[in-house]
Amino acid sequence: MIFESVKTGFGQTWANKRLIAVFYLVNLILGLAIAIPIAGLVDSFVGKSMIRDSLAAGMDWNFLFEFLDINHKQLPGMGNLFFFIPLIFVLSILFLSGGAIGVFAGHEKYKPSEFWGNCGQYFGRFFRLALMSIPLLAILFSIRLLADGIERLFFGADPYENLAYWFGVAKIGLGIIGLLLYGLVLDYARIYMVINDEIKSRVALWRGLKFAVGNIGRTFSLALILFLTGLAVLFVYYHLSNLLSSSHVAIILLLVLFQQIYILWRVILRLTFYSGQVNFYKRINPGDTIYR
Amino acid sequence: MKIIKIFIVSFAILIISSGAVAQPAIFENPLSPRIANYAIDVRLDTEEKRLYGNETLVWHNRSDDRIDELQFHLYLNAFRNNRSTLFEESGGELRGMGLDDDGWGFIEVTKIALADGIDLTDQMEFIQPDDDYINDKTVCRLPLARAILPGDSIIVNIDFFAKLPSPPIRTGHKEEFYFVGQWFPKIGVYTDDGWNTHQFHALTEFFADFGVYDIKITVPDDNIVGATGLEVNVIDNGDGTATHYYHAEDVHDFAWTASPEFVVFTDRSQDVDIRILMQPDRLNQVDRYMQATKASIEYLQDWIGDYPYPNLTVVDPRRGAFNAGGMEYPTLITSIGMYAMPDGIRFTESVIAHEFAHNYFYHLLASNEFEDEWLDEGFTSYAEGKMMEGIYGSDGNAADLFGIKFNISQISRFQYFAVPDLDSIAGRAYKYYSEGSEASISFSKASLMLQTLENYVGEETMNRILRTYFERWKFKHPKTRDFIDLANEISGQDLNWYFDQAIYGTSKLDYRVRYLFTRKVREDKGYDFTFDPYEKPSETDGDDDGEKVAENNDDIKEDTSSDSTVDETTETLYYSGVNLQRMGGFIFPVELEVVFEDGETIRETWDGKGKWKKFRYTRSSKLFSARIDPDNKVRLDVNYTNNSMSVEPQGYGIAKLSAKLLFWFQFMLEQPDLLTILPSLAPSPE
Repeated sequence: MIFESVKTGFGQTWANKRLIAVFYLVNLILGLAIAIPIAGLVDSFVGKSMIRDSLAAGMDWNFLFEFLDINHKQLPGMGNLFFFIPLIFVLSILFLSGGAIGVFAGHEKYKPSEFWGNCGQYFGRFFRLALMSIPLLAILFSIRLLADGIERLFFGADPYENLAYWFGVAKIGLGIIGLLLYGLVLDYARIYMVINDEIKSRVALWRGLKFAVGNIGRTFSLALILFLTGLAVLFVYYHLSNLLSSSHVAIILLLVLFQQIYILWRVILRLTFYSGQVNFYKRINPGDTIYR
Repeated sequence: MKIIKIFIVSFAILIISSGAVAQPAIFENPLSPRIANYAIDVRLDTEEKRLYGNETLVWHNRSDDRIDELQFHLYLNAFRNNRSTLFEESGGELRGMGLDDDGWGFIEVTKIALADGIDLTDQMEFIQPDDDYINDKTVCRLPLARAILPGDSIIVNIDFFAKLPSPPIRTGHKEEFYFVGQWFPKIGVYTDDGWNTHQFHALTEFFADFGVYDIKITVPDDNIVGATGLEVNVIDNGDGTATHYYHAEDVHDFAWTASPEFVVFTDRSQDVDIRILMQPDRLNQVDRYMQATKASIEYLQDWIGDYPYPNLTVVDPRRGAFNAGGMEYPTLITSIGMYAMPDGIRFTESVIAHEFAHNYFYHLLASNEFEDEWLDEGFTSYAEGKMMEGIYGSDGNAADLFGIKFNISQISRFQYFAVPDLDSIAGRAYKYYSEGSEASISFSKASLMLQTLENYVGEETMNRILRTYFERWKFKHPKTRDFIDLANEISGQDLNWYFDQAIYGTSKLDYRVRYLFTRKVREDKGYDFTFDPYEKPSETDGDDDGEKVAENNDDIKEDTSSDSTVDETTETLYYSGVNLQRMGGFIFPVELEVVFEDGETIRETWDGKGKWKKFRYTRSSKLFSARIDPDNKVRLDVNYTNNSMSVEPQGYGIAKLSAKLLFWFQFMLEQPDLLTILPSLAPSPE
């Protein structure tokens, strides 16, 4: 059922290329919103220095340290970008996900009016849902503290460093599991909201929690498949991009093309994840039909 | 070759009727003046975390003065309360860590008497030679009823007890782990200016005279002990304790460590026995410790000179005792390790290299760390960079992980940028503006200053300077001026202009290429000297920067009045210029490399004295680029980026960097929603 959901999800995503384009453009625009000011600052700092050429070869730490030292007054402003742009991105995805889930839940082709209509219709609900889910996030993220408790119980307040390290790793692992579970709950709550036109966030959250936990093996497996796929492609990307190390203009263009193909693939993966989850939900709950 | 007799004339023959152990000998002849000589019996009470000691000091007056008082350091009093100079200066913290609530330490002298039995305990008086801060009790004076004449000696018996601070701040304990430094009443150094004693400061370390140490350390019998010098014997006292007898010669301090948890590893490098005392939870790191130690010994013996001691002990401090790490004592150093430190992060290796280098630059060349801190920390940082490069290569010797590589010298430079011009290298480091300034100046700037000096005089000359400095000043107390005089002598140059700026000054060194131009040589315009007064002059190109520059140029290398004309019958000529500017107050001669489009390369030199300098050329090819310090010799230059310029922006480095930036930002965004903001939430392994 899981593979079938992924397969169907991928097919649906591929059939809605304009949806892919919308998500990709958001990513590109916000990526540029961070990259352009920083690249501009670097460019003005470098000027006509010969170091301009050597920057293509890789990180020059002397240059980086000089850059940070001499531009330290501008850096806090740049730092704000790292806070606000991801926030805008998360809100944008929250907005777009209503439209995407609507398309996938209805097994429809992308139609701008319906897509943007759904985006608008569900954004408020999704936003409320996200706010209401914060206590759940706190609880699920806190399961990592289990590792602390076990460590202290069995090894006291002063455990050997090797034990503390592995408990630290376990703590991170549990934290990630908690976050993933939270993400799944939120995803299925949104799917429930769209399919059942649910208005009440607490009801959707409860149903999302019930579904995600009730089918924990399969909901995790679905996420894991797509996560591992992403990891495998990242691995391929990393090694291939290293081959494009020359600073020749054609190679740089090829690198940019390659990078954007990779990002496009990540966008497809995100949409496949949405679509796969919708399909999975509908297979488990065939009685639920999308509200019209 | 070492003059060592080692070892220790077997202690089996040593028991004499009194029960005393005859003093063993390490060196056939004394290597140092042996001014301050100690015999101490000390017992560690692991319940109370206290030391109980009896000290006999034999001190020789090698000066020409009649000395009517002694001065001692009682450094554990720096931890007595939050009113000591150490706490005033640092809040009682080192590297961000302070004492536990019950972690205060102290030292109490219960009796101090001369060999003839005269009790002087009541005569002791605390003094504050550095800051008159009366709450600091880390230095005391002891008036003598009878002066010590030149060439005479005095024997002083001292009973003391002490409590060790926790966790350690340079010295102290953490649970069962003890790192015991600055623990006994230690006499000051008598110099031409009288007694030289300093309080325990937050930033600086210590200063002492050479001597012989016979130290008997009584600890629980399950403890493993490491210390300065050589272990002569261990006697099981039959009461659950054992006494470890250590003997050290020609050293100027004594530290020891004890823990029942140590795991001992031994090996040998060249003629030095290595003993590593590892924590049981970091045994996976022992190969790194051993290899770094062996490599450090080999590198420094080959580079600087013979390490005269027969052994070296490396201590791995316990978890929670971080501030016992990175400490140096004669033949005993501590490193800093972590169970999960990846091999590509060579922090442990660099700490071992650094601390072992201190055995040269402080323990043998025993400078005053309070007054000339750069002579130990600067030289050691310089040596550390050389060692790491020699041992681990020039690309990624500090870190080489996931394709990210950087070097010790780059870290030094970055550290120097932090507070580069508030203090001078020659200043007293305990009076520096801040801890950051100390790191910037005493460690990093001094290291960069020595690297620049090496590049200026040449590696071979620098090596001769260092080796001569070592041979001439080992087992003595060199000062800044001694090194400068020696560098001038060995290099055969008067380098005072450099040292005056680099060591005594605070100016920054920065030269830049300010302006480049290249253009066709113009046709003749205007009146010739054989002009017709009735002929109208032709118009001039007044808005050409290059022309303006040329008009005001005092440094034109060629006669532009003739070169700047074009002979229709010859090839096209280009008139090009390079303007350099000195940005900082530090004057240093620099090289300039000028490259033309046809590949012709010219090297110029500029004494760097003016605020600017112009170079002009008339060539058949256009100017392509100019680069100051093309061989990257001037390591003190605070801005390499402005050292070069091309007529037109070259290469696509910025384009590629921008593409990479864009990609990674896009990648960061395209994570599952929550993971986009996860980095700020994620914990790191402890």
